[in-house]
Amino acid sequence: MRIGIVLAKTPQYSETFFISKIKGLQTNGFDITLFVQDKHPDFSLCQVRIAPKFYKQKLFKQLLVSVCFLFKFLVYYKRFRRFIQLEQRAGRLLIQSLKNAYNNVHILTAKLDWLHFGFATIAIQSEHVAKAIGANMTVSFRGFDLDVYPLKHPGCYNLLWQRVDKVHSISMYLLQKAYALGLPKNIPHQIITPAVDLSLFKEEPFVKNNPVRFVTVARLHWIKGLQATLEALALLKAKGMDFKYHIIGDGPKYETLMFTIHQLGLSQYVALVGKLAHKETLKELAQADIYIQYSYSEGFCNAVLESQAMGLLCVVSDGGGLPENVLHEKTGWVVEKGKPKKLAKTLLDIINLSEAPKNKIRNQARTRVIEAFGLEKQKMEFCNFFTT
Amino acid sequence: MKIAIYSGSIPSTTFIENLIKGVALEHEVLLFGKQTVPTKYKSPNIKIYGTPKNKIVNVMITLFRVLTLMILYPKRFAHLWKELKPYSGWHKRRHALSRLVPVILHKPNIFHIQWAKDIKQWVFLKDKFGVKLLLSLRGAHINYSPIADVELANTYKALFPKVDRFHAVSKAIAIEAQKYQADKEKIEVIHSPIAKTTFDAFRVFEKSNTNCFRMVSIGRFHWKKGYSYAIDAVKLLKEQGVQVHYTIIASNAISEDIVFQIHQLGLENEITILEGMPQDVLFKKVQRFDAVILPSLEEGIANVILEAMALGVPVISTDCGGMTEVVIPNKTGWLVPVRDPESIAKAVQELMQMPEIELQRMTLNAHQFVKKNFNAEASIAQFLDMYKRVVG
Repeated sequence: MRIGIVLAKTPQYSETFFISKIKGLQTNGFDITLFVQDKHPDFSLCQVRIAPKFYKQKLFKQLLVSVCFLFKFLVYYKRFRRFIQLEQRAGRLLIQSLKNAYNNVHILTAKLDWLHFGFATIAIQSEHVAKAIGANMTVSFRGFDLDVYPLKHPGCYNLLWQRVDKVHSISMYLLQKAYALGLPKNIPHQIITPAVDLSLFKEEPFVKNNPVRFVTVARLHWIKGLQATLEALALLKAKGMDFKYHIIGDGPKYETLMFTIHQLGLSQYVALVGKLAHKETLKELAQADIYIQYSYSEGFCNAVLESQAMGLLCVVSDGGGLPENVLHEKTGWVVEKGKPKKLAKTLLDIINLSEAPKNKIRNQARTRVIEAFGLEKQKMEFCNFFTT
Repeated sequence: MKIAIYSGSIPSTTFIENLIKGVALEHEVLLFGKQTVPTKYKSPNIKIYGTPKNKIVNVMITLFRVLTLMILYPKRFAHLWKELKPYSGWHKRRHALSRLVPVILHKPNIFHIQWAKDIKQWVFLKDKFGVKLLLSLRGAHINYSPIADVELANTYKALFPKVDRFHAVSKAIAIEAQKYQADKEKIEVIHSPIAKTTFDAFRVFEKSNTNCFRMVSIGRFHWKKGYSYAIDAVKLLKEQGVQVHYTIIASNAISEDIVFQIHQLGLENEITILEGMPQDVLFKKVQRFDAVILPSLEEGIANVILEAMALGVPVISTDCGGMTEVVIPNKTGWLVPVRDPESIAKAVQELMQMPEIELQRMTLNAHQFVKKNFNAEASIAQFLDMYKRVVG
């Protein structure tokens, strides 16, 4: 069976969710092709096709690409005609339909049984590609896709909901959100959560740090709630607590967060470590006591799973799918989002807990991750997704 | 005296434009930088030597200026040529040339830089041409950019000692700039002038008859404006059973985080976002609100609060930057800590419960305070005095 997966760029090997998904499908005999806008030169896991670009500054190059497009258009004329007909029937302007044909030429010329969009926004303007090439269409939901994007683009998925054959959600929260946004309930769905490579985590006795070490792995983006996290930590500092907090990741909010750290007088307590390779990230996690993910919304969050597997105490917000990832007072703590005072109180309560209840939570979290979030389980679920 | 007031763009922001017009009453004012829209001034003392946006026009004009410079001042041209060397690549050099050549051709006595980040490209004017350098210390350029950008902080530390005089918009920013080697003795606090027309538009404050408290913030969507804290305060007030409506008037598109927050908190009916509007319309509109809120995390001194005070509208402001110098609790308005929605909500409740006569006393106080400390004539006189002393 031939599956095409559409992503923005080829996944890095540290992105276990995509890599294990591809490997699992390949092991089970599926032929995988990735359709991306940018390909990392080192990526060689499967065949990759790259979307055509527009070369505004390089006219000659654009001319060559256009001739190439025209050639493909003639060779695959029937497919392109079908695609444009479908676009027209959906009420799209001819010029937009032609643009969409150009942008999707790498998929429209492929032979596939399933066309799987790695997230919902990437399927916009490509809703008719699968039907035009005679493939089934599936889409995965991510947090940003459903929680943020439609707020600024109301009705952006109306056509997608009409065309999609099956959906994959990483959490129950996102599936419910999709229904609220108009996904018909009769469309088949499957919830497959992210998974962790359990071979990376050995059960080691937990070493307690003094001062306590907090850690977060997150892009420096507003949705990650890092300002609120820092405000909570400033409250701990005001109570005379000593601690270290490392934020692993980079992103557009670097300046904001640096200012926040400065304004809250946390320069001696907090470090913006920057983006780290997966191996280095795991080392950082191994040195911490408490993992914080105080996001306004998350689809599910892999770093929280990994932290639980490593025996860190996890404190998360109730944003998006996080309460499915961490069970409140069973495998960690869930705090109402955007409430720094509540987060500070929870952190303080945890620090003041004796070792026995902490160990109980650690063990419960680790056991749950091993049982419910292993890579093998995820691989099987993806195979089922495309065969049932 | 030839004074260049440089902000990088023509026309500039309101307060810089007020400064230009004020200084032009006594001196020749030269304007350099990108001309974004066609601009004309009534005063013959204001000379525009802009860098056109259009590439072809830009090349033609730059060529003409270079030739004039070569013929009239060959030595200056030689210096300019050396100045271009650090710029790598033809594209960057061409840009630098079009920016620098008019300044060297018309060589002012004083080059007044409005935004601190620009200092690096202009410090050669002092080193090579003996032009006096003046630098304004304003908002973000001092208060947070160098905190996040170590290289910028080092540039400031290396170059601030070369500046002849600093203008600080508030006492707070004057102190902040000293962290980057700005000499305390060279800093003068001169408040941004508020136009006379704003004071003329003052109206005695009247409490609205409706049960709904209507508050407004004015300013672009940017993290430093702290709108999310005001929105959290609206949510708190709503939970307390207070009827409140919050309007944000912004010149740019609403940011994603604010859209998300409004939706998450279910405040679509309590919050309105309006596009920016001409100042006269804005002033009339602002006077229909019960309060102007400034939830900012960082400000030099926010003009919107000064203007609201001049217009006679009650103000609630965070205690960031220089705001404590103008918003005085129980006298001119309500001052709340930064990042504190509970305090904003509490201030709103207090304001709502205050009798009209008390509010009238406070808004009149505020009006007189701004009139006394931020009037255009006094500010311009201070600037003129500073220019005179710099030249000696």
